[in-house]
Amino acid sequence: MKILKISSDIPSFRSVKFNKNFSIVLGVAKSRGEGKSHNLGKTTLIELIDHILFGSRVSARIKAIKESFQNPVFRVDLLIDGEHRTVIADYSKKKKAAFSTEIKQAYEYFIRFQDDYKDEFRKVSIRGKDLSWKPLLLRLMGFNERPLVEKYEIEATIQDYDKFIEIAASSGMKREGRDEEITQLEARRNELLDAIGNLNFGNIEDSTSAQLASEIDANILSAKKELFIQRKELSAVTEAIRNTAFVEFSAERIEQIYSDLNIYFGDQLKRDLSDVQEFFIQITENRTTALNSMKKRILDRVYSLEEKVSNLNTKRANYLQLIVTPSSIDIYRQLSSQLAETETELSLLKQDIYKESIQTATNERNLLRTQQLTLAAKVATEIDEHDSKFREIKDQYRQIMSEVMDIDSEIDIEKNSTGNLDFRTVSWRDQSPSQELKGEMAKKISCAAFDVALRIVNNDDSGFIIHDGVIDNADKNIKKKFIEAMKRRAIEFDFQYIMTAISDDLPDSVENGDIVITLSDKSEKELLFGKSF
Amino acid sequence: MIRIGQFSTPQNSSLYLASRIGLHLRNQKSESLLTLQKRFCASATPGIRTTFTESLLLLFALGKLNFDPETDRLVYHENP
Repeated sequence: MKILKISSDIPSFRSVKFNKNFSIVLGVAKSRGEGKSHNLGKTTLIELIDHILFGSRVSARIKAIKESFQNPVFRVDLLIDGEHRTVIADYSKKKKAAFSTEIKQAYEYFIRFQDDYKDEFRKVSIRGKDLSWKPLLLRLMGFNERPLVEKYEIEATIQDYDKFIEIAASSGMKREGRDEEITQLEARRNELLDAIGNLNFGNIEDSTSAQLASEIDANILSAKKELFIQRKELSAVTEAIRNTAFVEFSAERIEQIYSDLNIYFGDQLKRDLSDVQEFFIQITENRTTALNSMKKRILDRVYSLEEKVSNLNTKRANYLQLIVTPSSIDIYRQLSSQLAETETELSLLKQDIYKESIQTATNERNLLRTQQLTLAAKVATEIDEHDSKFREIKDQYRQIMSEVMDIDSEIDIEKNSTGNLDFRTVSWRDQSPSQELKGEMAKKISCAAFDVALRIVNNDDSGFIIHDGVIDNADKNIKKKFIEAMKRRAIEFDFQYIMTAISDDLPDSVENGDIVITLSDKSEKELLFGKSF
Repeated sequence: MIRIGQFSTPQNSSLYLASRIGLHLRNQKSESLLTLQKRFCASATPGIRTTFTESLLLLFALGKLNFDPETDRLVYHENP
């Protein structure tokens, strides 16, 4: 897929026609110096393309466009398998990506924005855990990613089981012969009640005090009840904060569920897949703020209740002093605390929360662990044995890096003992590892080189690749070598390379035809949208 | 996956749970996710949590509910 042209019904919008193989979107600032080549529309152009084709997140810039222009319509002309296709994005209607998730994923590494050059493999746009990006990367590198996906899913389930077992164990359900225990405790409680009943309150002189004391007792009881409820609530909230995701689905799993839903409900479905995915993230991960404020509220309540209870207790003790003998108070204190303990234990025992026994859960978990090891071995075998495509990628990457930066570097997949994969790049100088890839510029070029190597090897669709601001701040020599390297490869392997650049220090080898649009803030007319907003 | 057919039981069918949650939410108009979690998935084994999440996704996809992450509340819509 190549991009031929982007245009809009906004009259002042400057249409851009892209070259078949190599295009530069150029920004020229009114005056030289730092911070002057901004807000011309270079990045906006690329965000628009990303948003229209793949339905990426609505960024601040896209929002600003929607707010500043009334229901804008954009057209993107594409060349797919030799045929023309036009994608029309009408912002007055509901947003829908032009291409499926599969194609979106295939292009994950072919659009890089200015802040995406920190890591070759993990882009800023990739959020979430390893599951959300490592399998995709493996697939693009020509491996079968299935075993890794299954391994991650099994690991997530194992974690769930671990948590479940931990909770079940701590709540005392491992004890057997519960009924017996309940009977014992009930007998104990009755004994305690009897003992309290038999206490010698013979010295009662002031019946009013007795009445007051029992009123306070009622207050204490209700306060304690509420305290108990609030504490349970608190532990539920804390639990929810601790386990941010109470279940983990991969993006694929959600897609599968969604397509199942499509079978059952068809037209009744009101939301599209991306909304559902967003919703899933919200209900599993993004809840911390709400929960924290809830926690704070409950904590405040708990503190005030505790204070109330302790105040009431002091009061009651004062009243009781009037009506019982000193020794009775001590006995009463002792007995009542014992009674409270017994009551708590009884109520815990009677709560039959956990239906499945720990034993079953443990067995299932152990079974899963065996499967996990098998899968880890499978992943390792896959990487060792089917690496023909990956070797090609490594080769292309190394060539670009040595050509542009004169760094001898390679891409490496590291397998650790638990079967986890780490992707990394290593540079060599005089046969020992060097730090050359740590530099900002080297990292940027390395990211770009990795993308292009991936593109070359995955180019069945003669597709495009877009780099935003990759050589801004580079010195002239690197700019020259980089542009030459990209241009030559784009023609040789027939992909479309699009980059944004600022006009400072562009090498002479850039031909006029390479520059598809020049954006400038000399006048409003020369901005992408023909006006500032 | 969402189960229906000869092997589905009320315990493992997301469709069934979704309708229960849907009815509950319709009566309550809105409910905090935490409460819902406690009510419908507290005794959670991993299987039940999966069913619970699937039912939420189902209701959301049908346009029956919205989620406000600021207050942790799910809001029900009768006719989206």
